[in-house]
Amino acid sequence: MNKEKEFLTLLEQHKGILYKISRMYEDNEEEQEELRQEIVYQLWSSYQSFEGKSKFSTWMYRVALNTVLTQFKKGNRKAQVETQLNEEAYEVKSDGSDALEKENQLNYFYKAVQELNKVEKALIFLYLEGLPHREIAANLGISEGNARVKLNRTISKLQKIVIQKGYE
Amino acid sequence: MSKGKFNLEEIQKEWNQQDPTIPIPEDLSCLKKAKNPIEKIRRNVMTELHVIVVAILFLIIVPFLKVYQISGISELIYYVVLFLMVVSTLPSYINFYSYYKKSAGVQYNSYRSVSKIYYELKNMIRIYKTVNYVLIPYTFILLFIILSKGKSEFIFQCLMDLPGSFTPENYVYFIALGCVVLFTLLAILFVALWVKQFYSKHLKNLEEILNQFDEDCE
Repeated sequence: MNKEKEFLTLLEQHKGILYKISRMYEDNEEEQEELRQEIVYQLWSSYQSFEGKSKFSTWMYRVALNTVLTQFKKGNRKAQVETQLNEEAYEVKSDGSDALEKENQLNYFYKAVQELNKVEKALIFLYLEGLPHREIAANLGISEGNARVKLNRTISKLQKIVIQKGYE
Repeated sequence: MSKGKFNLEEIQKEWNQQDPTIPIPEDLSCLKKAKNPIEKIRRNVMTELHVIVVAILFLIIVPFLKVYQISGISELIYYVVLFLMVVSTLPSYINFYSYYKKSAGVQYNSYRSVSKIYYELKNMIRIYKTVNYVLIPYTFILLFIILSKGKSEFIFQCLMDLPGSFTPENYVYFIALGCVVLFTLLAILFVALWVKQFYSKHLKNLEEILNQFDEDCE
């Protein structure tokens, strides 16, 4: 199998990471797509140096997070998106079904997360991916204690956002 | 969030059950060039460097073009200035090139990666400013010689014979020279504002991310 096919197969298996991280960092679908393209570009550019010493997913977390951390919107575009975010009333589509209720919960979560800063988003993302504090710290380059403190504060902040915005 | 309280464990269950339907490219050759602003800056700077190299090559042959009438002391000054321009900016070009060739460091841990990009960009902006500040006066002197079409030799002779050259017939040339100095200063100011507007904002964004890492560390 050539390198490109091998990469695409791995990417297909781990496309969930791409999807989740783009939703965490962008609220607008078009921008999510742009961000995914950027991440795939960076992943492919760095793939030649991926030696397989760690799991592909571990390596992918790093490259993807580093890409989103150094990705900046143009000033006016950011303002436009923020305005759009604030104007949206986060309408609830409810027919009482459990599936729709769950979908709404996740949608609310993604909306609430938009209020966090980039590092806080990274913490929550890695936590939800099931990484222990030690690995979260290693990925972000901070101490384990610091990761623990930051994560707790971020969760509290997220809870406040949820209450303030009335998502409960 | 649900009918109960905000529960991250509940979110985590749903998080793991997400079934993304996003398309994965079948062919990587269709991938667009990176839109990351830092990568864009690297590419832009490299393009500017290529333009400067071509311009310098052109400037070398200008005195051979008879239309510009560059001869005598003007020709000597022209080549001395050109030589100084190349020599004083050459180390910066080498620095630029090594910056361009360096990887973005996306495989390090996040803090190290952002720090690396931040300090490299900061260094690159510093060099970029220096190169431009150095280039501006040299460029104006060269343009002055080229565009004066032979009169520069007379002006230089006048300058060498100060203050006897300040005659009513000559003052217009000194005004022209004064304009060159003024335009040089304005161009330097323009470069400073240009860098602030288009390059320094990314530095600020990166600094903000680094501060986010440093929060709670005290």
